[in-house]
Amino acid sequence: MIGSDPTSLQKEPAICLPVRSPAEVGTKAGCLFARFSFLVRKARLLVRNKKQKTNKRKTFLSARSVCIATIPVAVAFVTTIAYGQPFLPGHKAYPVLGACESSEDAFPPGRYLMIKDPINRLSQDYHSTVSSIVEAHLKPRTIRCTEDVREVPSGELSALAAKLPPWKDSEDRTGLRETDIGVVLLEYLRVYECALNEQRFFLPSRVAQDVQKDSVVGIFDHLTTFGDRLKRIKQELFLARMTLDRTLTYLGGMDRLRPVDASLECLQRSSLDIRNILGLTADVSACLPRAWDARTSLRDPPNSSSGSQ
Amino acid sequence: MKIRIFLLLALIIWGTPELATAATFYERMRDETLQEMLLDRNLKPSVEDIVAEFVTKVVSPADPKISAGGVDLALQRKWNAFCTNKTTGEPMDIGFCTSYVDRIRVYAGAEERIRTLGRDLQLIAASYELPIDGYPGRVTTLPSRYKSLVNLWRAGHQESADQDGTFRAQPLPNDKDTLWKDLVKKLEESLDKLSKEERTAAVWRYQHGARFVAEERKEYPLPLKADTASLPGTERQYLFKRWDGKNKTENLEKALKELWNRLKTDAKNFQPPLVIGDIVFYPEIKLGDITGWVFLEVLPPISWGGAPVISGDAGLQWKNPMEPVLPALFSDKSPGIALFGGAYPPELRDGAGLCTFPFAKLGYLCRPIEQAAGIECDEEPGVKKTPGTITLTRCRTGTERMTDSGPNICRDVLWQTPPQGAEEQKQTASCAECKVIFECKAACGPKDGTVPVKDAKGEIKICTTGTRALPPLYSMMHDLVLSQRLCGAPAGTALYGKTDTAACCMVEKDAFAVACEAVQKDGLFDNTKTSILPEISLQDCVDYFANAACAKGTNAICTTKPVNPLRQKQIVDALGKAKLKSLSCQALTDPTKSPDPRLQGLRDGLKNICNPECQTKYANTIGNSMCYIGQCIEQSFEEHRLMPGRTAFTVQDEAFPWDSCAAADPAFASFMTPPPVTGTSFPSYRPGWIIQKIDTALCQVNGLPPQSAAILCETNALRRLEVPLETSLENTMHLINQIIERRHPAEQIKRLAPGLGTRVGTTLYVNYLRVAGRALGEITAIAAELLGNLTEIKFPTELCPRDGAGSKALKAHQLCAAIGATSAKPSGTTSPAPSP
Repeated sequence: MIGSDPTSLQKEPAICLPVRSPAEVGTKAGCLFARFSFLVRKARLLVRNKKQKTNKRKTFLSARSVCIATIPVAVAFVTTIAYGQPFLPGHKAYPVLGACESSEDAFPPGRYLMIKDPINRLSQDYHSTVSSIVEAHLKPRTIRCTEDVREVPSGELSALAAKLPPWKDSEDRTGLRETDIGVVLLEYLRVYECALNEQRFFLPSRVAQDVQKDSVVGIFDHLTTFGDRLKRIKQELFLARMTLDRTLTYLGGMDRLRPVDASLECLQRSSLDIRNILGLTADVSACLPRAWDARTSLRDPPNSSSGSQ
Repeated sequence: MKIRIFLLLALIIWGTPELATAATFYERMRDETLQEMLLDRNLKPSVEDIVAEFVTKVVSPADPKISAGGVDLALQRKWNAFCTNKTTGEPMDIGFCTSYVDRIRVYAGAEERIRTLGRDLQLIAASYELPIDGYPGRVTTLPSRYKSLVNLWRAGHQESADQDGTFRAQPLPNDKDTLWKDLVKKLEESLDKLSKEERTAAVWRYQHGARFVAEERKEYPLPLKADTASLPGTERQYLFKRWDGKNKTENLEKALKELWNRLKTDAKNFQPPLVIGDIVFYPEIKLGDITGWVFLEVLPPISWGGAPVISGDAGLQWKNPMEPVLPALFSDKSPGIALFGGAYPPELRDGAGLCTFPFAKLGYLCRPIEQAAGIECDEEPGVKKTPGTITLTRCRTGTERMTDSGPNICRDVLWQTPPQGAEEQKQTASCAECKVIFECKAACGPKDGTVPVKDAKGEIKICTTGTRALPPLYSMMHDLVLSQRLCGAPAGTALYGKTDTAACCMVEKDAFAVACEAVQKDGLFDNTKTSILPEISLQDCVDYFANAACAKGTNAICTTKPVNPLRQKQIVDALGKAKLKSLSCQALTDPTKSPDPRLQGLRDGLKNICNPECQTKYANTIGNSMCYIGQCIEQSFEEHRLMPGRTAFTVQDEAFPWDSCAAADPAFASFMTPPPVTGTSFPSYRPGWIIQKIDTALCQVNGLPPQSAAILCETNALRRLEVPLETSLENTMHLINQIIERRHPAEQIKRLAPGLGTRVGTTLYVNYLRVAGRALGEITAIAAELLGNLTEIKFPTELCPRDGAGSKALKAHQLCAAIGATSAKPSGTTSPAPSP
C-alpha cells in the first residue's frame, strides 16, 4: 500500500530529467510515478500529523491517486501510437541492422561543404574517416586490465560506432574494444556501399536536379555528369572494398597476437606489484629466524620485573 | 583582415587535408588499389612511372616509339593524341593504333598485376611477422614483452646460468647531443637521395644490420654472397647491392655504423656495468616511414684475461613493411636497359642473417627446441609426417632443468650482486660462516682432503687436481655443494660416516647432480649418441660419479644396476676431451674474477644471508626476493625450530600448551601441483596440402569431383559445340557468356584463398600457443591463487605467553583465550603480563 511506511519518506526520489530518446520514456514515467507517490505519502503524513482528515481531502487524494496511476498507461499508449509498437524494457526502438540506404548519421551532409559532387563528398568522408581510425589503431593503445583485459577503443572508433546501427545505443558500446575495428569498419563499408547504391538508384533524377540548378546547357551536361557519376560509383564500389580488404588483411595478421600481448602487458603490470610486495616481504623476512618460532630461546630476555618469564 | 586571411587559409587546409599531412597507412593501401586499377590519385588511368618507362622499352622495335606519357595516353584511350606518330608527326593507321593501344594496356596491366601480387604477399607475411620480430617501435612487441616479464621474474644476477644475457633498455641521446642529431640527419639525407626503388631495397638490405652486411660481426656466419643471377644488371641486383660509398653509391653503411659507434662510447658509463652476455636495446630512431635501430651486445674476450668485446649492430626496418624488393625493371649497371627477368625470386638459402638479431636468435628457426630428458624428441609429437611437410624446427632432448631445493635454495643461481670495492668484500667475507679454500695441486695425496671438513678456524680446505675425472670447474662446483652442507655445522663435523654408504650416496648424488647438470648444459655430452647407446644423460653422469665416490669394490652401490662399462668409458672420454679446453684450477680460484657465474652463485650460498648484521645486495626481481625469503625460511628451520628442549616428547605431542588453540592450518598450496614441463613444438608447414585444398575447392565450385590437374575442373569451353543450340546466334552468345562462367569460379577462388590462408595460419598459431601457453597460464594461475591466499592470512598482534604464565596473562591474550579460560584458577594467583 502506498505510503504505508512513513520512514520511506526519508528517501526522496531524484528530480526526473527530461526525455532525450524514446527509450527513456518509460524511465521518465517511472520516475514521475515515484515522485508523485512520494508527494502523496508526504501529504498523507502531514495530514495524519495535523489530524485534518476531512472527507473532501480524502476525495481529492483518491482522485489524484487514480490520475497518477493512469500515467504509465497513457505513456505506453503514446509510445505505441508514435513508434508503432509498445515500449518494452530492453527493447530497441530501431533494428540493429539498418536498412540499406543512405545514412545522414554516418555521412552528415554538412561535412565537406566545399565538395559539390555528392559521390566525391561521400568518398572523401568515407576514406578520411577510415584513414583516421586506422591511424589511431596503429598508435599505442590503452588497456584496462580490470575489465577483462579490454582494449579501450580509440575516440575515432567510438565516434564512428556511435553513428552505426549496431552500436548506436550506448549500452551496445559498453563492450566495444579496439580489436573490434574490423567489424565496425566492415559495417561502415556496408553503409557506404548502400549510400553509393542509393545514389546509383536515384542517379537520373538527382543529376537532373543538380544540372538544372547549375547549368543551362541541358541534355549534354546531364549525360556527361550522369556518366561521370556512374563511373565514379562503380570505381568506388570496387576501390573501397578492395582497399579495406587489404587494410584488414594487414591489421588482422598483425592483431592476431594482440590479445596475447594485451594479457602479457597486464601480467607485466601485476608483476610489478608482486615485485614490490615481495621486496617488502624480503625485508621483513630478515627477521624471520627470530619471529618464526618466537617461543624459543631467541625470544627477548625478560626484564627484572617480569619474574620467571 | 588578418583574421579573415587566417580563416581562409584554415578553410583551404581543412578542405584539402592531403596538403596538411603525409600519406597515412590507409591512403597508401588506397594508392596500391588504385595502381591495381591502373588509376592515379585523381582517378585518371595511369601506371607507376617506372612501369610506364618499362613498357616503352618492351614494345616491339618495329612499333613507333612512345614516351612514358604516351603509355598514360594509351591507358586513357586518348586516340587523337596517341595515334599520331611522334617521329613523323603523321597519324597512324587507326586499325594498327587500336591494336597498339591494346598491347600497351596488356603490358602495363600485366606488370602492374605482378607488382600488386608481390605487395600483397609482402603485406600478408609482414602482418604475421610484425608482432614477433622484436624491432623497436612496433605496436605489438611480444619478444620484448616476454623478456620484460623474464626480467621481472628471473632469479639471478644474470638471466640464467646459461649466460643467455640480460636485455637492457637505454634511452637514445637527447636533443642537446648535437653529434647524435647530426648523425641521424646525415642518415636521413642519405636515404632521401636514393630513388624509390633503391630506398626500398636499401631498407631490406640493412634489416639485419650494416655491420653484418659489412662482414664485421665475426661471431655469426658471414652473409651470403651474390650468385650469378643476382649480380648488377640482373633483376635480382638489389638483393645484394651495398650502399657503402663505392661506385658512386650513397654511404649508408658508414652512416649506420657511426650511429652504433656513438652509442658504443656511452657503454662504459652504464650502471651497473655491462657484463658478458648483456644486450642493450635503444628505442626506434624515427626516419619517416623507416625505423632505425641500434643495439649493443657484450661478447666474451677473444683471449683469456682480455677485456669483453662490445659488438652489436645498427640497421633499418620499415615502420609498416608494405613494399617488397620487386624484380628490378632497369639495369643498375647500364642505365636505361630494361631487364626481362624470369628468375625471381631466388631460392631461399640459410645464412641470410636472420639469427643475428638478439630476439630472432632465440626463436625456433635459429635454435633447436629443447625437450626434457626422457621426453621423445619429436619436432611435432603425435603428428604423422605426410609427404610434402616442411618441418621448421629442430629438437634436442636430454635437457634437464633442476628446480628442487637442496641444502640452499637458489644454490646454483647467482642471484646476489657481487660485492663492489674492498669494504664490501671485507664485510661479505665476515658474514660467511665458513671459508672454502681450494688448493691447486698436481696430485692430491692421502693427507689432502678431498671430502670437505670444516676446521676450528672455520676454514674448509679442499685439494683440487687436474687428474680427477671431472674438469676443475665442475669438480669445484661439486665441492662447493658439499661445503654448503658443512658450513653452518660445528667444526669437525663429518659429511657422512665412513661406512654409511646410504648417506654417502644421498650427499654425493646431490652434489654430482649440480656438477653433471652444468656439464650437460655446457654441451659436453652432445653428439655422444652411438648405434648402441643413446646420448649420455644427466642420470648416467650422476650414477657413475656417485658410485665411484661411494663404492668400495662394488660398482652399483648408489644405483639399482651398474652403469654400463661402455657408458662409463664414454663419460670419461667426453670429460677428458673437455678438460683440454677448460680453465685451470688457478684461473678458477682467482678471487678477483668470477669466470663462471654458477661458481660464484655457489660461493654466495656459503654466506649467512639472514644475519641482521650482514648486508645482501641483489637486483630487484621477484625471483631474487624469493631466493632471499627462501633462504631466510631455510635458516629459520635449520637453526631455530629444532632447538633441544623444545621438541615434543612423542610424535604429534604439543610442544606448548597453546599449540592446540592455534588457528587451523589454512593449508595453502597443499593441493597445488606445478604443471609438468611439457615440450614445445611448432606445427609443420604444409604448403602442398594447402594447394591441394584450393584445387579441391576449385573443382567443388564447378560441381566436379577433385581432378589432377585442377585445371581440368575448369568449365569446358567446347561443351556447347558438342550440344549445340537451335541457332548459330544462340550458340555464339552462349560461347561469349562462357567467359563469365569461367571467370566467376576463378574470382570465387581468389576471394577464398586469403580466407583459407588465414585459417591455416591461425591453426598454426593455435596449435603452438595451446602447448606453449598452457604451462605459462597454469603457473600464472597458481601464482595468483597463492598470492591471493597470502592476503587472507591474519597475523596476530601479540605473542603467546611462555610456559608458566598465569591465567590472567593467558586470558589477556587473544589467541590463547580459550586455553586461558580453561586453565584459570579460582585462587586468583596472577603473574605479571609478559613483556611484548
